[in-house]
Amino acid sequence: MERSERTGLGLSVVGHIGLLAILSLNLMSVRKMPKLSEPMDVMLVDKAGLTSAAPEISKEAPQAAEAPDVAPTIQDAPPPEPAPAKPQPAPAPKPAPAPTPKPAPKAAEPPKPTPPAAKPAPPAPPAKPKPKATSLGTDFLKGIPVDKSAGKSTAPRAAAISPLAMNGLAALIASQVKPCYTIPAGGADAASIVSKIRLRLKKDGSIAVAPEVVGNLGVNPANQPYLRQMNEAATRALQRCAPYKLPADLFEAWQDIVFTFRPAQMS
Amino acid sequence: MRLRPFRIFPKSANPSPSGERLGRGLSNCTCARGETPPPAPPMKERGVSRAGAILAFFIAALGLSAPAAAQLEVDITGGIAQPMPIAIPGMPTPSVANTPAGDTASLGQRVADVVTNDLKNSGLFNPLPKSALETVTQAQTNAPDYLFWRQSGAQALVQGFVQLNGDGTLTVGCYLFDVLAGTELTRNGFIVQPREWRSGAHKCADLAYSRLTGEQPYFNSKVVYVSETGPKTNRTKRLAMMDQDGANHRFLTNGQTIVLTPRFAPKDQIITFMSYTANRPRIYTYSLDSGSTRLVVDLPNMTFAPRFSPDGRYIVFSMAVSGNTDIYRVAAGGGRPERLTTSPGIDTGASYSPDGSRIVFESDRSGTQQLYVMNADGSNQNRISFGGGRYATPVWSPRGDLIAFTRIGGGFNVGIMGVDGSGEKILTNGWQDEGPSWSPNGRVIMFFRTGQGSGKADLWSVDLTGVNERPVPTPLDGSDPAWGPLLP
Repeated sequence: MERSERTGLGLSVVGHIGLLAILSLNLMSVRKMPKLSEPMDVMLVDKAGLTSAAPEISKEAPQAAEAPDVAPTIQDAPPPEPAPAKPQPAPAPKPAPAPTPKPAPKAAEPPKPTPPAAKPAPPAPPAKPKPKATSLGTDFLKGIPVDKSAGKSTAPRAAAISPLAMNGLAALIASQVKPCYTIPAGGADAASIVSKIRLRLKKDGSIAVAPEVVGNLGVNPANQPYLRQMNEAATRALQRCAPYKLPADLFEAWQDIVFTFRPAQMS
Repeated sequence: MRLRPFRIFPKSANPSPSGERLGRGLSNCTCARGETPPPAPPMKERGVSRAGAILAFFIAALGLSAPAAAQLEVDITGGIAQPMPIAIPGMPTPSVANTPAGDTASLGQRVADVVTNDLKNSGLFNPLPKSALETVTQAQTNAPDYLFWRQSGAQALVQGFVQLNGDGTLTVGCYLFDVLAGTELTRNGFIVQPREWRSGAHKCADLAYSRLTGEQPYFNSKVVYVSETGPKTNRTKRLAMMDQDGANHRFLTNGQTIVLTPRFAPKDQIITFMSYTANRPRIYTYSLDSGSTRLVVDLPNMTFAPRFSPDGRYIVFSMAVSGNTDIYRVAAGGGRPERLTTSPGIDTGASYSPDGSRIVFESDRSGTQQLYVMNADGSNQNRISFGGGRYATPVWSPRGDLIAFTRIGGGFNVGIMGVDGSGEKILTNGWQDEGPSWSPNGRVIMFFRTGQGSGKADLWSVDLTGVNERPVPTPLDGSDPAWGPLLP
């Protein structure tokens, strides 16, 4: 080791010790930490909206929330219509989103595993929806303003469809597809195949373009022989449950859907 | 699709006055302990704008992770395991003609009946009742009436035709359609002798089964078993053979000597079994073509529990030599046996893996009957059964991944386990269920069930889920079934 190196090393050691001392001294003067404010609750949602839903903050009183009806009560008065929208600057009142009422339940249709009590009661048209294994009606957005707002706020709505609405929509669609998703008790590991299927719908909820397999996950040499069958089971579910009853005013959101079928958690 | 409540602690340089809370559904208002949340307090500018900023941040973060072209994505998790509704209407004929098996019009209906029965017995399909079917014309055989079948509830449709050819053979045309998609999935034509029309029907059922499930076919196969009759103390036991669905039953031996444990050769139409001919239990082979019987090992010792190797060249069996029973191997045509095990206990019930490299067998070397796996040359013997009770009659699955066995605990039950003994699963729960045999595709197990007290035994089948269990029809009592290979 040369002299210069020794000097450098010595300086470095002294410097480090000094630094450590200064930092240690700093600890002696314990500063008061800023007080944490009270906790605030926020929600994380799975689905992002079509556009940013960051709300422009209104100074007006918020619109009263209203829970969607889950099931009709016997002898109940018809559920109250949402308060009519006050004439807003622009939009003419759209016709009520009327899902075409089914003429009569098809007689020979495969039985849907649904207790009849779970029929949703949509507010406006007293149409009898197809019985489905869900308590979620097309009115799931009631209370979550989508288009019309009864509030007096003049602030423009920021979002086309909020994440909350997207979540509700996805749940509604899933609830209509799931009862139709049957798969054969396949062999080795077949249930770990995940099928991604794209479905494009018409405005009346019927299928516009035949379901299309856009991807698979979980395929391995053992379950490869069942790949085609698992995709077909998923495709069949989508075809079998069509047409879908979905809120017409959200058509833009549900006209093109990518489904992810995960058979692993078979019931 | 789930909403997860999430709590964060906003870093605050200037803590907000306690009155400023973020109401409006965003907050559960933990601030007011013990109080109910105030009904939507009017918002104050400052707190709200900070909330907005935080919210905007999160939304932006979400937006970045899932680009906001906003393809709606829907997760369907789990489904319903239930048999697929399928329609199998009677098959038309282009022109009615007489055959040794009846006219082609009635054959068309009988072929559809056999297909219906096969698919129903698999447990994976739910054939529509005849009343829900419509008559199919010859012109419709490759252009089905989708509108009708869709409203019938069927998801798949098997139809076809039966035609007598110039050379006296029959053609069974078989078509499979996806009713919902309105597409043809597959088709094939099977040429059979009229007296083998059932084979054509089984092949049609196999075509639909394997296309719709992804499994290998198994309907066109035979079963050999021991037919039993007479009082408990003096049973007459004859070898009998039948189609997998119980049809075309015939006896192979006359019942003068007791026969046990018949086993099919993997490809050739040869059966090996144990017989008490001349009161000496020894193993024989029986040729289905010639009907001739032959002693395999010409030694005075007792030989039993025979089974063919997957290539059909060898027979493994057990032989008792001076009080010690071990597993031996001999060429299928006979010759000098080669000893594979040497332990002092009883080693028996050997069964090859489908690649012929390993053998599973039972041994009481540990004190009780347990299952062991060894290499085909007898090396590397390892115990694989460790559940409660004793284990017997192991059979390696034709797919290689499972071993079926009889477990003897409180009763006799048929079960399956991995080839290393993992994932043991008991499939049946009768009084006395034993002697499993695999279907050629390894999806179904046939076994025999003895009733409590009566001593009467019957053949049963069960699938790997253990749910789909059903009796196999036999004219008399039956035991010791052995499922044969898929027929060409």
